[in-house]
Amino acid sequence: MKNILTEMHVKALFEQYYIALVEFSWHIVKCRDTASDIVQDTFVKVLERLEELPSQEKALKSYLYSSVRNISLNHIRHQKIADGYQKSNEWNEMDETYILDAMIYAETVNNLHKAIKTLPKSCQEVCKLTYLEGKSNSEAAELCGVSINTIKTQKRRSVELLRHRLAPIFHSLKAFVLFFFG
Amino acid sequence: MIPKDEHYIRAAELVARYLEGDISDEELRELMDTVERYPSLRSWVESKDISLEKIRERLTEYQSFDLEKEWQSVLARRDTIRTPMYKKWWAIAASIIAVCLVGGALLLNNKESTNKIADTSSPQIEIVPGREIATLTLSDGSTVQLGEAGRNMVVDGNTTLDVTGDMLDYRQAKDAEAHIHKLRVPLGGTYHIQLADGTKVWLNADSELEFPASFVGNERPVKVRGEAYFEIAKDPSRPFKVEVGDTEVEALGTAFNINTHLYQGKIKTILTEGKIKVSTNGEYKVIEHGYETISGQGNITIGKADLEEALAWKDGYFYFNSKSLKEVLEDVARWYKVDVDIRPVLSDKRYVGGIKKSESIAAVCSVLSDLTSYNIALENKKLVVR
Repeated sequence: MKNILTEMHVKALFEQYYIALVEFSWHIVKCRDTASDIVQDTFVKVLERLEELPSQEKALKSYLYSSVRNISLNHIRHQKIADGYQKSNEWNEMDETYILDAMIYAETVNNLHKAIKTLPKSCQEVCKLTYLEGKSNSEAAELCGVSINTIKTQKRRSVELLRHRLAPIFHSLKAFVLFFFG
Repeated sequence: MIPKDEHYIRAAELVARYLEGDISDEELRELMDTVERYPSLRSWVESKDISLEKIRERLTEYQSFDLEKEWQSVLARRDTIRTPMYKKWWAIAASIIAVCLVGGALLLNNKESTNKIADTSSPQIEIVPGREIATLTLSDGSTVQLGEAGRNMVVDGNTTLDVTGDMLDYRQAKDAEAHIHKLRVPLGGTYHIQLADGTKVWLNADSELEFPASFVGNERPVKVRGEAYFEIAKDPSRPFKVEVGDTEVEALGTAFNINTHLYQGKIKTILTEGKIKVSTNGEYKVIEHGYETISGQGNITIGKADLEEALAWKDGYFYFNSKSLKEVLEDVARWYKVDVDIRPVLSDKRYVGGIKKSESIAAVCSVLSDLTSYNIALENKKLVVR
């Protein structure tokens, strides 16, 4: 018998792919709120049609990307018409490469976001400020209201935790560090 | 599924792994083949640093993302488009039954239970859903709607208040003139307020609280009607006085529940913490926590209190502990402001349980009908038991 998805499964899917899909949609619609709307609506649809969905993970992922891509493309088509643009083929020609690029963004951003989220709260904050916002140690220390040494300790701890827990992703974070502070 | 999508996704996965440094030799070979097929991937792979910088810029967008909140908004969207009434009614009925069972309702069996839920849940019967709503009347008589689609800031003269969610907070209100404000909660609502001195008050449905926007002088006087739970901020130099009908409750720093939603103008005060002084018509009694007073008919009687009763409503439950069906029905009637008409002689079986106060009276009736040997229905604002 075919496995039918439950709401719990959908939530797990949501947690796994939401950011990826929002990022993916953003590259097409170029508006964060619209992208969130589109992806949320896609999940509403998933919840409404649990029995019609593929139960295999790979097929589901493909289904989610396709749905989000179609709704996003429809959205900008409508917008173009509404804005009085001429229906051009410009998009259709570029979309293949562009879609692929958007997917690469989506996958990488999603994975890295998850890696950072697995860190303890205090480390996350320091990670965000230093690695993501490009703040210096002293700026981060001031913003967090702690000493520079605390920031350094937290950073070291983050890196160690990431190294143990997520050895592979650590390398990319190290790449960030090298890139910005190296 | 379009196969091309699956190829794209696979290609994107491989590039992502490569950028993250999480790629096996085998995958690396697969990536190289993929790059042959999709030449646009080449720049991603060849200038890894530039690629990661582009990713980093996007990643900052999601720093403050709250996935749980986003998921809740998906569920909310789903619920707004899912309208069929019968589904909602069944959900309500089912939830009360669940609460009753969990509460351990020890009840009789009934053979004709199934149809009754459907019968009594037809949409024309009044429903009283619990919401965080209230009306605030300011000193100039103007009113402000609070809760749900309400506003976030209330201004009265030089007093400015912030409304956070379901709660009105007067602690930051500075107002020397002590304007009198009145908070009214309609039937089917509840609300929660923090007064200028830090005292917290929960107002039950169909209740009113009159209070100064800030306390001046050596007393903290408020007036209440209906049912309210108070958590008084400690301040021995300024007693907190609650005027409720002809009764006055005086406290220094305690927690108590006052209920005037009773028969014959009775006022029940249950003390859950500390000590209070209850006075009416020149008579007064001091009670300790765990006790209750009944006043409002010229005298005060003291009894042992059921604290759960005082606290349950605030947490959204309608509670009965070892009560006969008659008492349960009286509670229900009081809550929904209807009368009870009991025709047969009721058995003296005892019931333990709780029902969500936010349910409609129709739903409550159908659960009670199902679980007892009687037919309980709402007819012309009367609970009729057959």
